[in-house]
Amino acid sequence: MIYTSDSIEKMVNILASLPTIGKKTAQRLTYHLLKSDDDYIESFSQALLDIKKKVKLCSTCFNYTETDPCPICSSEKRKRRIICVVEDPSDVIAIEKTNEFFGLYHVLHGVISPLEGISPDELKIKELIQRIGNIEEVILALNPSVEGEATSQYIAKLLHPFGVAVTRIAMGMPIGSSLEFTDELTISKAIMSRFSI
Amino acid sequence: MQIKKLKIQHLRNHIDSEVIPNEKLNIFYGANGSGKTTILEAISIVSFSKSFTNSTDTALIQNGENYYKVLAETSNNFDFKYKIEVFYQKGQRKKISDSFAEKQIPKNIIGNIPLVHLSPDLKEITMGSPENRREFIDKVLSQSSKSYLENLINFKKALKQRNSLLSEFQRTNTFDKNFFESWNNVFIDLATKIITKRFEFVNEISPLFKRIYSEITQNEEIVDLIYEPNSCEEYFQDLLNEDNKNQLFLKVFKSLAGKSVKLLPVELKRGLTLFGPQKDELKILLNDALAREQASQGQHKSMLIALKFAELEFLHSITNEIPVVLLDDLFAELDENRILLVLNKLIKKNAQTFITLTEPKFLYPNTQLNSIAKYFAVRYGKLMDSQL
Ligand SMILES: [Zn+2]
Repeated sequence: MIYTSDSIEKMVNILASLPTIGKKTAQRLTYHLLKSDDDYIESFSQALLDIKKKVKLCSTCFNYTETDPCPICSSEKRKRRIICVVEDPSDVIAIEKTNEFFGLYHVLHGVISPLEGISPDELKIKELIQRIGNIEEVILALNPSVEGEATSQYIAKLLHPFGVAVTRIAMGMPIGSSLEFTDELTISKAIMSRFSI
Repeated sequence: MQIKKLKIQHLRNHIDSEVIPNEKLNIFYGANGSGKTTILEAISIVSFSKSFTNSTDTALIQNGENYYKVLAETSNNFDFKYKIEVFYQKGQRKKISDSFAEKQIPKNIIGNIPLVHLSPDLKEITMGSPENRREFIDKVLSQSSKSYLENLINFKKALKQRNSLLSEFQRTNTFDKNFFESWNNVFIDLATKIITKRFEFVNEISPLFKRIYSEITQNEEIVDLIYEPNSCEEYFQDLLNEDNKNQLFLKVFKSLAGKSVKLLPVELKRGLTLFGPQKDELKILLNDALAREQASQGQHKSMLIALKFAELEFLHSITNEIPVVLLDDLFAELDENRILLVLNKLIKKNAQTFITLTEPKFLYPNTQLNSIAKYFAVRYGKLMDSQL
């Protein structure tokens, strides 16, 4: 044992188990916390308990919330006939920051990936279909990964019979990609919408 | 493209080597195992993020050390200075930083230092299985087109996902049409992008290959390159004659879609993808016969050299940079005539060239060569500027 206290060792190990935090950073954080006053530690530990106890999923859009439905779903100011579909709750924050979108959201909590055993049933896709009743437009804002692309296609196909407009947000093209790339993408999208086995 | 400085730390038997190359020929000589090829590997690492040998990064680290580091400073046609460092420590992710970003991923650095590599090991391109020729195409296009590299990476992911899905359907004896079609469309879309780009590439490189082969051999033999994309057999002639890019894209897309419908029952039975550019062939013809079956050893050597010079000219025309050229232990396999032919062509092209050989003696008498060449003796992973 290199630490002079079991509690310190425990704290370092817990912090180091967090993503992107290495052992060195965990150590620095632990010593920082040791020097903090009681009020700070009190509110720190309360905040930890609260995120687990109070935060749940909105039963409509499946974003994190303390009230159900969440503030966005229950807001009078939002356009209720447009849904923007995203992968994760953090994507909602990214889109809200742009101040360009005033509709509702739907959080899938992941993308389809057969390799990782994530089938459509693992995601909140059925729940999206159940919301479609009075929706006019669905915007698919999934990440431009292969998995995001396949998930968008899957959802688009499911939504097809409902006659709602399905659109995509303009995806950030990779740096260095040429016009040709954009052209191909547009062309292939156009064909794909017509192609079905 | 000019490499101005190369630093190598703890790579194979090099402890800490620095190379200040000259602008034309750089000749590294030493016994087998002296560490001369490692210098070329280091150049491959800063250009492709990995060695051209299939060694793992851990295997590249010097015995008893726990990291390797390669640093290069380059200057291009427009005198733009570009710097790159690749650092690998055992058990960690490879760290790449360059003039554009502190943290780089491999796909963003590939193509920044265009590279043509030629060694006897590459004889499999003309002699071996189709896989070697696909790899040849992919390596050239990855350097000339960022979108091709991006599509290739995504295609490989999509193929894995599609295989995994088919094998899941096979295992559970189920089929979900929507689930399948979403992945199938992504797969076919990317496959089409790969195939159309390969078509374009072979159309451009094949006249270069023909011309250079006849320059090298100075005889009547005629070579040719024919790209045969898997799953496009039915429309093949049609595709060959298609000049319009969008039409070509549509036609390839349609043939793949048709193939997919036809093959689905078998694919479900086997739980495996059975068509796509991962099965493509690039036919190399010599006097209308398959070179792989008909060519002599000497013809194979000439074809490989012609193919590599064609690659050099192709990369030059697309990137506007003369690629750096690596010739690894090549001269052991060539007669003196061919060696001088190769060297003169490279000098004429103004390509910065890095050559390894065991015995430099036969080059000494050539005074014209010596005036533009820098010699380095390599011994036990150490470099010595050598006076002739
Ligand atoms: Zn909500």
